[in-house]
Amino acid sequence: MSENVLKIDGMTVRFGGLTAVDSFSMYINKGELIGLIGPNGAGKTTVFNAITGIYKPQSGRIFFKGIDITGQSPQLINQIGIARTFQNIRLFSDMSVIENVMVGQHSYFTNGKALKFLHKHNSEYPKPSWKPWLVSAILKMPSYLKAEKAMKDKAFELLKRMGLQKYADYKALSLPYGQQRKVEIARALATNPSLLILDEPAAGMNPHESEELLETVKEIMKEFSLTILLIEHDMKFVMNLCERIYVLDYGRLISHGSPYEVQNDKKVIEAYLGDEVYA
Amino acid sequence: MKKISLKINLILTIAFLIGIYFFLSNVNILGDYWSRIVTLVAIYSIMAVSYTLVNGITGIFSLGQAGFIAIGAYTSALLTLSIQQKEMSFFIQPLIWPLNSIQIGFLPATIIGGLVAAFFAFLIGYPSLRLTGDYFAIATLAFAEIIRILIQNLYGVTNGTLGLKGINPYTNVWWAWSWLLVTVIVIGSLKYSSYGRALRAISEDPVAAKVMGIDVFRHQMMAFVISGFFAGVSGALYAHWITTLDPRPTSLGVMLTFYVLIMIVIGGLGSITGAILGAIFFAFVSQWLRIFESNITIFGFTIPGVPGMSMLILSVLFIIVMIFWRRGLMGKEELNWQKIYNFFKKVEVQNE
Repeated sequence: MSENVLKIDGMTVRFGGLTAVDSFSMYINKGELIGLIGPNGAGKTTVFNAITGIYKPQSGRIFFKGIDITGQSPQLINQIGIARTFQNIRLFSDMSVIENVMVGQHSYFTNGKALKFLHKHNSEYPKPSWKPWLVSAILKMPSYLKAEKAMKDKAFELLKRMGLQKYADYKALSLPYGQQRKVEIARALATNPSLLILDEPAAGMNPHESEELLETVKEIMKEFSLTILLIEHDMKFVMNLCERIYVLDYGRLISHGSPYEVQNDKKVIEAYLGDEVYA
Repeated sequence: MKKISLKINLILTIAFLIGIYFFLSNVNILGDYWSRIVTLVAIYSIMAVSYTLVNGITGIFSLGQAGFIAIGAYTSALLTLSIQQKEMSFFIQPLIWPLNSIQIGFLPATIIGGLVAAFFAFLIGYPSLRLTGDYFAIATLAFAEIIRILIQNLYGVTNGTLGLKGINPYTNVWWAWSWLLVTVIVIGSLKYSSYGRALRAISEDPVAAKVMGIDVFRHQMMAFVISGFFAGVSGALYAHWITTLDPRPTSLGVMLTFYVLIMIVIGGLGSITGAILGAIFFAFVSQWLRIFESNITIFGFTIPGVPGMSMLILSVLFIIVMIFWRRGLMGKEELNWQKIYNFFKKVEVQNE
């Protein structure tokens, strides 16, 4: 079995005549922190949407821990261990912060399909057993209440971890922008991921806040033994944090390497600043 | 403002239920007419609560409620009608076997009515839940109309336009209000569980819900089928309340869907107590407004009654409610003792 957590092989995503991502390949090893950068409209978010199953790639394969997940549904991909946040925050605005995080844990009751999928591809994973969770949820049976309480405790723990415990009962939309981003990360963590995908986590944050977030990301990575893939425009953030960087432009991979290598790659400078630099 | 503790909450709720019990056991004092309306309130409430599970809590806009109500009504009525009555009614085309030779009790007939409606909810939900928004609404609207037209033309099963007559008037205050209690407990318990949270998440942002590992299709289907079951139950109760069934658009057709829609929009989409308040509002107001359909004499002038006038006034009232309570009376919240306490406290402060 390969050590790659995620491996993308020649993935192409087209929208009608527009090729958003063109035969893109990448790999991420366990425990790595990888950055994906590129100018606006380069196709970064499309790559994320294809990994998480929102878009289906026209060609190419996506492997997660050696299992082909191309074309699977978003919920299945999430349940087997890929969680993400969104560029434009997509919290459940009418629900409280803690409820938002607890939604992330709901698949605990309904992950039968995902477990079956894992078991089919790799018999190391346990065979799923079916439990009548819906009935016990309606009748509020002890087994359900116990699970619900465990969920609430874990959600609170995650909020505490992100420094949000005092906002637990606030409506999600009433929080400041930076805090909402943190709620999104907590909600993604609640789904028990092994690969966390962050879409511009520091967007809209001031330098102080983004510095703080940088620390938090490093910490949770260790704490939850995560592998992280992120898109970010804040170059300081990316250069400080990421071990390797992939650069996209017009849907094509133009550069790949350590932050130092990428920074000095002529193609990258061209993509960002145009082909001649006027000083 | 003071917070009401769990203990007081519980005591008040039990006291409230006992109060309802005494009201219902003495409902005959109001006279036959009004006690029938009290029963109708419960039936409407079941229709509204089951509808709000789909349209409010899950946030998918279905217009097929009347179809499920009609299925529940016809199924249960065909099961409880006496064999002689069936032979008498079906004179154009005899009733098919085995329906022509069975007669069962009211409770099993109600449950079977609900189950058949739930089965149809599954059948219609499977293809049409792949649609979203208005397309889903149109698909379900068409489905309800197909059901009605089938009822109109399947003489061998439903007696077509002749309708079913002489259904035993089993539905009394107790049947209706007990079923309402069951409906509220089941749907309320579902709303305040992990599944309910998932449904609310789906109503707000289906894509984010999917990415959080929620199988949107399955959860919508679950809500749709549970809603279908209780719609069928309400139909069964309705059939044995009104005692005759016919497939006119105004009785079990699209008008009924819109009536229930009015109830839940007035009450607040997504609120169970709101749906009940809406049903009470609708049942009483639509009865009171009947006076406008007969001749009224004011200061010697006689205003001739216009049929359908009550619906006109009801829609004006509906618009007024929509102007002042944009999200309905309750919004998405539930009515609880804390809210009532806060409300009276506010009134008290204003009076001082």
